[in-house]
Amino acid sequence: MFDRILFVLGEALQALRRNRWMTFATITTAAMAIFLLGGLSYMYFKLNSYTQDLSEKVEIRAFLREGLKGNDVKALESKVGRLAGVKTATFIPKAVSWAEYKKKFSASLVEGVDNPLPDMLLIKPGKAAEVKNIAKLVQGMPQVEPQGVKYRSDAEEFVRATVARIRVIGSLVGLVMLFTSGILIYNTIRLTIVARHREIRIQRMVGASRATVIMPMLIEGVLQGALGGLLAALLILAVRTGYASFIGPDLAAGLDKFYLGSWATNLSTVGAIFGLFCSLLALRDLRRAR
Amino acid sequence: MSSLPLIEFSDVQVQYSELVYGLRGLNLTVEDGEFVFLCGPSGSGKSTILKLLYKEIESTAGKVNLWGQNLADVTVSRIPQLRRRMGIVPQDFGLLPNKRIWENVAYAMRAVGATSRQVRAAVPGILEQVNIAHRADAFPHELSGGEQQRVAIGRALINRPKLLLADEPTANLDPAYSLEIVDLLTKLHAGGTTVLVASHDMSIVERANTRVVTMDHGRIAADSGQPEAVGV
Repeated sequence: MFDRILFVLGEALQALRRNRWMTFATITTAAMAIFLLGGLSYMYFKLNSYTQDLSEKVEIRAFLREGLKGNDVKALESKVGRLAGVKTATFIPKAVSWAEYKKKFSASLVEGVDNPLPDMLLIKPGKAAEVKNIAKLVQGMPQVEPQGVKYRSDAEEFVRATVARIRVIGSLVGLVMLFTSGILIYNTIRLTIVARHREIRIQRMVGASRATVIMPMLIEGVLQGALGGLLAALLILAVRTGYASFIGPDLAAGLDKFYLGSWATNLSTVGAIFGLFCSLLALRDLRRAR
Repeated sequence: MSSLPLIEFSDVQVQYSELVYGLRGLNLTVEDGEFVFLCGPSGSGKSTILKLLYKEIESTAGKVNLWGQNLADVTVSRIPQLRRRMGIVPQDFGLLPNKRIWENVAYAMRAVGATSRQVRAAVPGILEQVNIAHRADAFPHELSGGEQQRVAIGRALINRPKLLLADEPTANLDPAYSLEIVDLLTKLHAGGTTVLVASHDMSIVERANTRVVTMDHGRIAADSGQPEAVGV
C-alpha cells in the first residue's frame, strides 16, 4: 500500500515539475481568486459589523451660540432631552471639550492657543434611525449655531457605500479569476494527459487500475488548488500586516486576531475541493477510457 | 487443460462506420498453448482481433470468449484485471525514453501495484528471459530496434501471462532482428504461453513453424490449422 502511494505521489510530483510554469500560473491565479472571494468576503463581513457598531455609537453634537446664559442652556438641555427619540442630552462646556482636546494632542500643538471650541450639547439618540429627525429639530432651535449640528451619518454612509462597492467589484473580479483559475487547472491537467500519454498507455497495457492511472492527475489538480488556497491565506496575512502598520499599533490592537493556521487550513481545503472538481472535469474522458 | 478453447470468436463483426468493417462474421478458435500468426494486408482485421481480446474495442455483433468468459460481460472497470492475465506487445515498443531499460520494466510493475522489493527481485529475471539483461542500464535510444522490442516483450511478461498478444512486433525491424524476435516468441511459447501475433511480414511467418491464419477484408482467407474455417 505504501509503495502504491509512493508511486502515485511520485507520478503527481513529476507532472507538477513537468508543467512548472503552467503550475505557477495556475496556483497564483487560484490564490488571487480565493484571496478576492475569501478575503473580501471576510473584510465585508467585518466592515459591515463595524458600520452596525457605528450606528449604535452614533451621537449628535449641537454647537451652541456664544453668550448663552446658564438658565438658557439648562432649558435647552431639558427641551432637547424631551424630544422624541432622544435618549440623553448633556451640556458640555467648551472648557471641558478643550481639556479633552488637549489630552488627545501634543502640547506643542495647543500651547498658547485660546480655546476655539464652542459650548455644545451631546445628544444620544435611542435608535440610529432617528438621528436625522433629531438633528433637524435641534438645528431649528435658535440657541444652536447655524449648521452647528454634526453627526457621523455621513461617515457611516460613506463606509456602507464603499463596502458595498468593494463587495460587488471584488466578487466580480474574484469570480472571473476563479473561472480563469478553473480553466488553468483544467488545461494543466489536459496538458499532463498529453505529456504523460506514453506512461498512461503503458499503464493501461499492463492492467493498471483506473485509480492508478487517474490518481496522479487528480492529486496534481488538488495540490494546485490547495497551494492556491495557502498562498491566498499568506496574501491576506500580508494585507492585514500592511493595514495594521498603516493604522498604527493603537488602532491595530483593536483588530481581530489573525490565525494563519486556521486560515491556511480553511482556504487550502476550499482550493483543494475546487482543484478536485476541475481535475475531475478535465479527466472525464480518461475516466471513461478503456 | 480445460476442454473449452482458450479463445473463441463466434460470428464476430466489428463495424467502425457505415461502410468500414474491421471483422465480418469471424469464427475462430485458439486452443491453450497454441502459437498463431494472424497475417494479411493492412486493414484485413488482424489487429482488430487482438484489440477485441484486450477490450480496446467492442464487437458490434457476435461473441468473443476468452478463458471461457464472454468478453461482453467484462465491464470497463474489470478491464485492468483482464489485461493483467495477458501480455500486450505493441508495434512501436512504447518505451519511456527518459527511463533506463530496467526502469521501463520496473515502471510497468509499479503501475500494477508491485512493491519496490518485488520489482528488485523480478526485473533482472525478466530482462534475462528476453536476453537484454546486459543492457539494463541503457536508455531506449541507445538500443537497436530489436533490442527495444525485446524490452517491450519483457515488459509484457511482468504479470507472468498465459496469453501473449503481439501486434506487428517486427514491423519496424530489419529481417535479422525480426527473426530474433520470432525466436524469442517461440521460446516463450515453448514455456507454455499461448501466443497470438499479428503480422504482415510473410517472410517471418513462412519461417515460423506455427499455425497461420490469413485474414482478408475482415474474414479468414486461410487457416493452416483449421482450413475449413467459416466466414471465407
